[in-house]
Amino acid sequence: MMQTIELKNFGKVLVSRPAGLEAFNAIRPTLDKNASVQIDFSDVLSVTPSWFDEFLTNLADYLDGRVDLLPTNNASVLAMLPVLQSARQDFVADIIQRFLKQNQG
Amino acid sequence: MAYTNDKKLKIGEAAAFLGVTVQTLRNWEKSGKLAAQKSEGGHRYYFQKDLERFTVDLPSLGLAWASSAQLPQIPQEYYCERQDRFTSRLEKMALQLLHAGVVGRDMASLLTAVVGEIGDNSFMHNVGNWPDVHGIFFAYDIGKRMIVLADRGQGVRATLSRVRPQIATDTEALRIAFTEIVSGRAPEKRGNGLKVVRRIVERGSITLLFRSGVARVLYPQKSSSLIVETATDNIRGTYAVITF
Repeated sequence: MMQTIELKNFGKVLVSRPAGLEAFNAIRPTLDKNASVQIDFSDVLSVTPSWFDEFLTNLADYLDGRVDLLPTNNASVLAMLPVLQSARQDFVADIIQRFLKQNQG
Repeated sequence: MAYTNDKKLKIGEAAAFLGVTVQTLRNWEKSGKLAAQKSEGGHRYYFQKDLERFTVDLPSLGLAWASSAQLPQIPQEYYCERQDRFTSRLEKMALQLLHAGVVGRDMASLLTAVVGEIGDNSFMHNVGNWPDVHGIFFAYDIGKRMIVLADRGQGVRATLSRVRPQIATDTEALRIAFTEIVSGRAPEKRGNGLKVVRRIVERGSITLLFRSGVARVLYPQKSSSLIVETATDNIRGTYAVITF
């Protein structure tokens, strides 16, 4: 089963590492640990690298990497993903790689 | 220092208050630099407190916050004692950027991410270790297309040295912070946010001055490349001026 996390539920502007962790902790009880998750950036204005790093890292670890990012034209998201990808060699790098490939197409 | 003066000034009085002509005020209103209020009868007026705020030199005030030995007096509205206040003011800035129509949605998104990352760094890297006053200076003027952030924390070299102990100078610390992927996750998490800031600034439309210790990073013009150099005077924590 595919679950979708709408980031707009956490606000229009997503800032800071503690807030990213808080968002993950809030969503975790609602997740099926055996299912996959897709992240929807619709109606979010801006996401900082710190918030997203914290949120995605925890989410990817929890679901063994079964996370995908839905296509988006959010400028802050597109600016940070390549940096986040090159900084990591784990689930996060794979998730971003899949997104970048799909978002280009 | 608090702005409590709600006195209304007619356009001629406002021009005299600022020492400019009425035509200049009209031009500023047109360009979005300084908005006028309108009465029910359609007459323009200005709140004196808005004019006082307009005359404040934000970069000088931020620089004083980041560099002076004694804590300078600043308007309370520019001080974010805690992270939650910074976040809520940043959200307000983002919505004002959008609604003012001065920038498009992409630029509002990017500016908010840049400011959010720089301000958030100040809190994250100094938690429990503020030398004197915790919190940050955060001020912006959308009409003047300028945002200023400053903190009285330990500065980039001290905080980056926790994961890169061999760093010798402030200049080296800033160069690493803006250009190298720092993979150390302990003892503190690093999201490589300043690399993202660099990426956004280098794509154009934003200029940045970032200072810490006796070093500074400059993007003097839009779409220019990174310059890291030694400054003549010392910043206690960090100081950033963003224009767009």
